[in-house]
Amino acid sequence: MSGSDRLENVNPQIHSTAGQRPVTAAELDNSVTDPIDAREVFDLVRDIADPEHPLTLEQLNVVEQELIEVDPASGVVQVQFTPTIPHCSMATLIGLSIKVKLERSLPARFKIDVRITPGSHASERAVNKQLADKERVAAATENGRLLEVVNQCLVPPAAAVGA
Amino acid sequence: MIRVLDENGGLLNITNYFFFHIYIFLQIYCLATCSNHYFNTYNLFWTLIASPLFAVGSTAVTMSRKLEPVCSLSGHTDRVWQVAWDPAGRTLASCSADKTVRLWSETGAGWSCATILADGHERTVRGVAFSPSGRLLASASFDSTAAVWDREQAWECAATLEGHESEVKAVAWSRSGKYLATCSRDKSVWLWELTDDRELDFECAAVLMAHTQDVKRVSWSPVEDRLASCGYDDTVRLYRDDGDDWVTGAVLKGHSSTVWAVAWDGAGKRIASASDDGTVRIWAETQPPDQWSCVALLSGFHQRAVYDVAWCPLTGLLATACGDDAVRVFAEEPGAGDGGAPAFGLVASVPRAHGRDVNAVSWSPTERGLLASAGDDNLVKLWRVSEE
Repeated sequence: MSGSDRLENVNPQIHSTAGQRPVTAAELDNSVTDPIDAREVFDLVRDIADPEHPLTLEQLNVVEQELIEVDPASGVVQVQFTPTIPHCSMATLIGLSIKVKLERSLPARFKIDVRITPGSHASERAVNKQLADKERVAAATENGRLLEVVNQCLVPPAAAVGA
Repeated sequence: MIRVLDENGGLLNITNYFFFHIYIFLQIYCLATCSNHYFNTYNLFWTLIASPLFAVGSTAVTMSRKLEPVCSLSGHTDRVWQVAWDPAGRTLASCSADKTVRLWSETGAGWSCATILADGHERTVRGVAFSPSGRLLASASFDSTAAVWDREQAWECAATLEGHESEVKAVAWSRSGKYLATCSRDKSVWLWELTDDRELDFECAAVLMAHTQDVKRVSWSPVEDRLASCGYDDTVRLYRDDGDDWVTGAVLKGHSSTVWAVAWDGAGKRIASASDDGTVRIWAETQPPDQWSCVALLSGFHQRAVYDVAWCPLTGLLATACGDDAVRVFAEEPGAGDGGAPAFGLVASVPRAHGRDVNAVSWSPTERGLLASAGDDNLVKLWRVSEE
């Protein structure tokens, strides 16, 4: 992805990042049930690298905690992400990275729905359909070259380490 | 619960539309006035008048039967994509992302894995199908090939069919065993003709390019050489041999997302289709040849994508495999059908049939009510539906 000469979004706006999650007394108490919440899911995806810039999805406002919903009862995790520009050709790759990261991190019983924030992309419907098709996602992650690109995105960029 | 159902592709007819507006108006009015009196009136209106109007040609929930677990078969090391019975009902094949096909059979001690076919494919095996004679097994793989395995040679891989440009998603044998259909991510359906039964020579008889996207499933009619396919372009398409060429017939439109599976009824007169939009549609050939319409819509039952549907030729029961981990069984209600729209009721369901998505369901061709299912939890399960 870094092989292309021209960047699609040349000068992206960089946003401030959320601080560390405060640890509460209840979380340290092993007798209290502590279901996975939106903040925990956000912590899993915030440091995914943008395919184009050495920045995190959080710094580019592609992912936000407010756009993550977790329903512990049905086990459905819904993540909406906002591409930086409406014609971003990386949208599917970004969504795939989020999906792969969550599939690897969350317990297997969770259903993970990754969608584009409504109205933020020109091919919203097509990208959403592609990301929802588990068979195509499975075939994509069996493709060695594509998986390598996804894995690269899952390594936090240097910018995230200092943040 | 509102279910909008009718025979013409799920649109409300004028009467229903009128009452729907009254219903919405009452609902808003009750909310605005916070009036218990009007709320009660509205509830009465809804139970007595409005709800039967919405239930035209539709669906009831009467759990008159039970789906009892028979056994759970473990062995696959990755998600199981499909299951298929041999025509004698004695062997069950399952295929998986672990690149293998497993053959299960019943011994004195219960069901167990008899054979593992491991060296035919380099990637996920997405689909399997037995030939009508039970001698041959075909498998479809993401490695762009289909393989044919021969029981008479101790399940050796006897032929590899190459030609598709990308992942092969499904395989199906015609009722005579003469044709094998394969479909692929490359948008095409290929028909392979078995020209030599002994040597197992296959020739490509047709390449059908009707779909505009990824083709997910192919299914032959049980009574004639007629093929149905479905896929990512939200349609079901039909093909037949017009004497010298394979032609595309009807295009069944109505689903609002990917159609994952199609299944014929035992008489070859109707088709059930299962979709990512969470519905199952029943289609009938209203004016042969090739005038098909949607005669029933099973909507509101599935919380997520429906990945498979199976129509039992012995009992007429419909089973569905769903992304919400459930297996459901529907029965056609007696009485409907002569001219009127058929009605299907949910008669049994197991909400957590598998630990994850259910990918496939398949009825035993010989034993009434015996159902196999497969899921993302790497398991194959057998169920028995109690008779009414």
